[in-house]
Amino acid sequence: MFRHRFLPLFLAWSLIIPLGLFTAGRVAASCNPGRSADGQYYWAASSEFPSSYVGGVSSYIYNYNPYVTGNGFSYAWVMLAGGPGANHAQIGNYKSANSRNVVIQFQISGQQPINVNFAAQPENRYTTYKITASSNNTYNYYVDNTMVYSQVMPWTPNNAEWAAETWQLSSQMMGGVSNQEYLSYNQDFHNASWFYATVNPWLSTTGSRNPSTYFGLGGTAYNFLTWDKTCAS
Amino acid sequence: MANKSRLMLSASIAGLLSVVAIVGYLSWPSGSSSSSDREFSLTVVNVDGPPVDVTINGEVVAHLVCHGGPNSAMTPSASRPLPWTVAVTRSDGTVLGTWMESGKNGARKIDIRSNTVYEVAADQGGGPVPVPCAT
Repeated sequence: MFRHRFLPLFLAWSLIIPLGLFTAGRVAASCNPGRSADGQYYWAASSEFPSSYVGGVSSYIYNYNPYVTGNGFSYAWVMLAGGPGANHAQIGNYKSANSRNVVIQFQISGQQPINVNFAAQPENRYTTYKITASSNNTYNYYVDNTMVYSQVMPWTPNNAEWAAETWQLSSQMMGGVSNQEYLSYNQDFHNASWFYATVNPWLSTTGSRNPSTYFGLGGTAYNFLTWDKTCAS
Repeated sequence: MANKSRLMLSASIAGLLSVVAIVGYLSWPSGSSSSSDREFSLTVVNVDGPPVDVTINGEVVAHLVCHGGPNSAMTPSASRPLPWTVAVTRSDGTVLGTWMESGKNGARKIDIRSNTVYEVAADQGGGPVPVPCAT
């Protein structure tokens, strides 16, 4: 009686659990690149100065979930920047060793940058991240066309940027060889209209190592992709 | 007939439990500690600034240029115990910034951006992409 009642349960579990774990492993899509921390930043980025005033920036970004360790992070984002120093307004998919979130970071040059965290967007899906700036320098941040934050800062944007960024080589850049990080439909707002980005992306770093040793880059300003060469997916 | 019903019930329960197990596995947090929970360390990154010296309690511990080599995270030691007074200074002696590090705020990072510097949690974003190094 015991065997008869519980055998199907056992069989179902023995079939479903391995299937579930296999699926979970594929969705997780992160890998330890096996590199040492080096205290440097790496970017796959496009940046342009299309006008003296840039009133918006937008991208349709793939929400990848990379491996991050220690005090590293990986971040795929759009940004308005301007003026001297580090003035910027930024939003995107951010992963630390602790969690994955939508993170807004903003900074007034000469002051500390400030982060504001929101719940992560679904993994392995696309989200439109957008920032607009009005003529009185009110910055509005959007996630899939829903405004999630608004503020006024005392600087005027003249620069639009789109990037995937990693701090510390010990963490994974967004994307794998067969599951790349896409920043698509990249646009900025100037002269009263939205325009597609025109400056082709490049890899850069604060260090002396060649970032193309570790990271791939493809596409154009309008639609570019990057990946960590060490990680399959 | 009763046996068939029990079989279907058992299979349904197994399916439901499996869905719960899979969803739980996927949504379970990674479990690593937050930045403030980790041990103190300090990394100084010359993103696009001029050549600088970094001093701790008056002693030069690093000379950093942008696009330089790997940066090692600095940690307290018997010869260099906390608290630290950290300063970033240009080669002409201009002090770009000073900070008191008590070690109570986890891993920290000082970013040098053009001729400005700021000190943040180590896992905070680096800001705009670099521009040519300041002189």
